[in-house]
Amino acid sequence: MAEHVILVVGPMGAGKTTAIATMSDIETVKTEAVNTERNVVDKATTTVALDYGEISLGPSEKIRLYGVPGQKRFDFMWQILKARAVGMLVLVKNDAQDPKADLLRFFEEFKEIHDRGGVVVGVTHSDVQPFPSTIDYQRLLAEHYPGAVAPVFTIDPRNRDQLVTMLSVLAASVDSRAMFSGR
Amino acid sequence: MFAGGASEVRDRPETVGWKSVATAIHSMRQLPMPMLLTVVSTDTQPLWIDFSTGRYYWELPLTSMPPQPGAVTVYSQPIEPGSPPYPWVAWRPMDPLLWQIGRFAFGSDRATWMKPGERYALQRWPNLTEIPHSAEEIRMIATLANGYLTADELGLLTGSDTASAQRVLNMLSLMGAVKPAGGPLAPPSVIAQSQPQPAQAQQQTQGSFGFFQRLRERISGGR
Repeated sequence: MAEHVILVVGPMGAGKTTAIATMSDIETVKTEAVNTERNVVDKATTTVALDYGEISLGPSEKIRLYGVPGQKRFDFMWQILKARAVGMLVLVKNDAQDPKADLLRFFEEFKEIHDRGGVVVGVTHSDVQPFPSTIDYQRLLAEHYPGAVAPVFTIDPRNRDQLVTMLSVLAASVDSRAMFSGR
Repeated sequence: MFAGGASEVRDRPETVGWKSVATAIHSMRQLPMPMLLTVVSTDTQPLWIDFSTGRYYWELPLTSMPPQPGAVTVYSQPIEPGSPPYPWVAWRPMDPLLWQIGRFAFGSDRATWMKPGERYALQRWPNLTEIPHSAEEIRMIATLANGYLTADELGLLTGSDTASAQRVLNMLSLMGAVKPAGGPLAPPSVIAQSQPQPAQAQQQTQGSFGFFQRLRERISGGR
């Protein structure tokens, strides 16, 4: 069975759980609990371990989607998962206090996935707060990581077509990276 | 709102359709000052493009944009930094607009400002969730993220014809999403390894984009 592990990361409230439920072929495995940090994000529950979903590409090939908890205290899980991941979707909540810092934090933490596979950034809540724009985020990444050309798209995590675009771009990035590196 | 006492500074009007508009947009992007471009057409609504914020206003949805706009007049005027014009209208990000104009402006010909044989690499991704796009266009943009390529080379690596590759380069260039190599540059080594006979080209490209192809077939019917 060929498997492709794709991580969905981002700060609390960015829409990781919803995005996985929108993409997954199976009933997603959700592990949520009461949010003890309502001063940070006003939602009743948050992911405490992992969200899990799957997309079947055929009888012997599937994509495993792992939603990784956003809080720093769970970073021991990030280390385990990122070693297996071929790609990553980073969700950034545009109406958060400092969404640019959130993006840099997750990009830095998981940069090795960008270097060997594909990373796509999805900006959520841009209907509420249109700035920073996708171009602002790409400029930010270019300033901190010269040579890294990461896709940044506005998305609604409930919109399947938009998530199909994100996944397609991630897959094309993985394929083209492999083509250029001769893998 | 408008620099220099709010009087409009008008360039000589041009009247030859989207090609003229695209050329004006490309020229405006090179200027170090914020500009407002106004496009007046005989066949459709006026269009405003604010380069200071990267936004545009057009009364109609972009799906209503005619491939031939009729007689077009383009006006440009400097605006004050940090003071977008006409704050009462619903400005929208201009990537989708430029993608559409880029598609209509030159067909499969090279954009007027691009040089034959010049190599281009991706500088930033367009916001594809806001832009109608094909699987072929995703493959081409992802490929440009990895190296400097000519239209011929881009077509070769993605299994597309040169005309389609040139059209994508035109659209991306109009958006400022690709950068030229800026001098002679050897082709990436992957080009030397990708010189198949014509009958083999499609098969080889399918193999190069296997993960992508299988995903698209599974979740979007291969589109």
